[in-house]
Amino acid sequence: MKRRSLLALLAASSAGAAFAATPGRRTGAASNSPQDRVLVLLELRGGNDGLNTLAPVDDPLYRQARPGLALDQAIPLDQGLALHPALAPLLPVWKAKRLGFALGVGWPQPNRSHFKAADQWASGSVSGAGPGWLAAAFDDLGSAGPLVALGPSGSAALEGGKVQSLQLAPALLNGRAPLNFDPALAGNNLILRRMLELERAGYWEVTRLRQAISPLPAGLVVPRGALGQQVGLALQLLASGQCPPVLQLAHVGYDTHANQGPRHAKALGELAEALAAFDVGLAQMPRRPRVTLLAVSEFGRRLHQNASGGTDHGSASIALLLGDHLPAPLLGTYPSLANLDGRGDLIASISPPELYRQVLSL
Amino acid sequence: MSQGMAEPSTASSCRALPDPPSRAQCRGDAAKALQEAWLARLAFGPQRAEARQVQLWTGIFPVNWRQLAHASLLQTQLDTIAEHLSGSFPDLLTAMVLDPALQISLNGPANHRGNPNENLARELLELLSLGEGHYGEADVQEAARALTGYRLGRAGQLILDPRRHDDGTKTILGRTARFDGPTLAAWLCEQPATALHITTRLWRQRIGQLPKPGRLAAIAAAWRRAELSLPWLEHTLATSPEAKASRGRRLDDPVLMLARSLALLGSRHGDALRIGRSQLIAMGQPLFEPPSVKGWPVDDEWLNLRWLQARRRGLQALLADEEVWAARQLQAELPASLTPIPPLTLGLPAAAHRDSLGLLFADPVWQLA
Repeated sequence: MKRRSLLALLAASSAGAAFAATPGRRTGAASNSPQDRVLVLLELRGGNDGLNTLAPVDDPLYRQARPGLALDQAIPLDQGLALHPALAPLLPVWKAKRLGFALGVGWPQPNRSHFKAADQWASGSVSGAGPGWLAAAFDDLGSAGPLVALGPSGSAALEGGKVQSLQLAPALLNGRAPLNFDPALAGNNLILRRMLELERAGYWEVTRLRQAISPLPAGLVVPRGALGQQVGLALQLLASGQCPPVLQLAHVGYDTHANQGPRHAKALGELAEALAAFDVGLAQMPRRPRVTLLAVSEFGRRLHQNASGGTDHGSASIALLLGDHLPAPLLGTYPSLANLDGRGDLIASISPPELYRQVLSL
Repeated sequence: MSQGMAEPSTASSCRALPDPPSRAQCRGDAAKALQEAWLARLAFGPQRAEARQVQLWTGIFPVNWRQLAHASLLQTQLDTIAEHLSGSFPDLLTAMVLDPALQISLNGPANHRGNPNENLARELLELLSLGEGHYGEADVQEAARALTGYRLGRAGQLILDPRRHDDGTKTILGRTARFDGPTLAAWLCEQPATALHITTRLWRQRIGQLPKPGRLAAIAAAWRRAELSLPWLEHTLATSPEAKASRGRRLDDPVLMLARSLALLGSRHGDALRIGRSQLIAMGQPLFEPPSVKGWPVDDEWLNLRWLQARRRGLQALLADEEVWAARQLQAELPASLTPIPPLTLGLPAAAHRDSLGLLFADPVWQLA
């Protein structure tokens, strides 16, 4: 789907319009909050192996292709699919029907470059060019934003639009406010002007959020580590009553070309603990916006393991959804392990723009 | 280039330690020593200009020290790059394809005939030579076959093991031959796309905003006529009208900005390097820990609030350290030539003291190259 038609769908969707926080357009639990819906984008960097995240354990082809990597202790969910054991902390979330997966997500002509694929996912377009998909969607809704990245290197999905996009760190909210120079001082020096504009926008936004930010719910344990820290800050913003409409998180470590067994388990374990804490934190908030979290990765990995106990860049993978109003626990159909593309990789059935459209309408 | 190394620990001395925590500690200490020694080279020399060029090339051939058994392999890579600065790109690319650190970082030694690991081949084509869009998936698979069989010898050198190497013919970009690492690198360098891609990447690093495609294509074509000479390309880019016009209009890399700041302060106290090394982490450019095989952000890609804030905080931390300050070797005056355009918050020249230096380090203009 071209982005134009995606936007047309969005503009026509009253559910999508709720993100714009226009008065009188509210649904859901937190109708007295000025921001009644928040979308959290979690980027799993490196190409997460969907086949070993939600594994087709009943398919004999799975074990044949991955004699050293097929999961033995996977946790059965539904439709012959089973969770990686490191994702066990998410089981209560699944049972509460607050966790779901989109199956067979990817591009019709997959690109196996990390960077090209990441650009495609960020822009929601095959060319990989243009504004980020969230920036475009929120521009179209006339949202003032800000779209806030909590991951350490920002997110292209939030950038490139008219809507304000910011990157925040705990240190920024706790330390000194950014400088506040008049951008006009930069004259015609474009980079200096952008720097001063960024710092001025940051100054106002940080000042505002600093006053609004709430402490974490009492007794909540958020795991240490980079993702846990981002989740903690996301919860503080969600509880603030002035949460930005989009938060982005990032987690690294999914490019498992070699020694995948322990490396993938470590990454997924961190992911599961952080998301489980996120969900517990949401449940403990007396008042908060409706939340949908979408976790995506630039591609999946090949069906067949390589000689280094790992997997190379593949195509279709899964996306993870967590939140308040999931339409179904499993969206779409799992790619066939028998019907592969010319390179021997899984064939996608849900394109990223289609996935985005569904998520924006939740 | 290793004369700057503080404590020369070696790979074997770390491996000899009894338990994993102490081995990890040993590797971490070796990495810190290398990072601080390299920061000292960039700030104080000798041969600061050469070190700066090597630093920029580590953005093209990025290796993360955490992927290596020992940081000394990175020192080898830095030395190899430095040796090739006066040579040609094909020689540099061949040396990098055969460089133990780069090979390890892209799973090269795991690449067996019969069951290739494509990581090195793909990034070689996409990032180190042709650029995305100038090859097909079949070229990646065939290039991976050409790169099978390299592994590390006992002394940390790279060996081509005939039992693991696929000696058959491979068809890459229309040529069928018994390619291996060096012949593949040479063949990639014959492609016009490689000259254009590398010219583009160096332009982004050194000048910033890209010119019209025709301008880059003309430089790339002339570079091919100059047999891909590296001094030719450096000189051509450095003396271009665009380079002159870009002065003060490009956001500097944190590492180079920090090295400038250390050089101005002139403090050789060990704390200066320690503070610098750790503050670079918050600024988004921890030494020898690039975020991906694509290397470091350049110019406006550094524009985010978190990193900009960290740049100022880091310099203020450097200035606040009493021992660093006590060991300073400041000129009496901060000359106007320190910044490419006048700072916003103080007039230059100005008397050099702690307050004026604090203003300069906090000024947005200090971040520009």
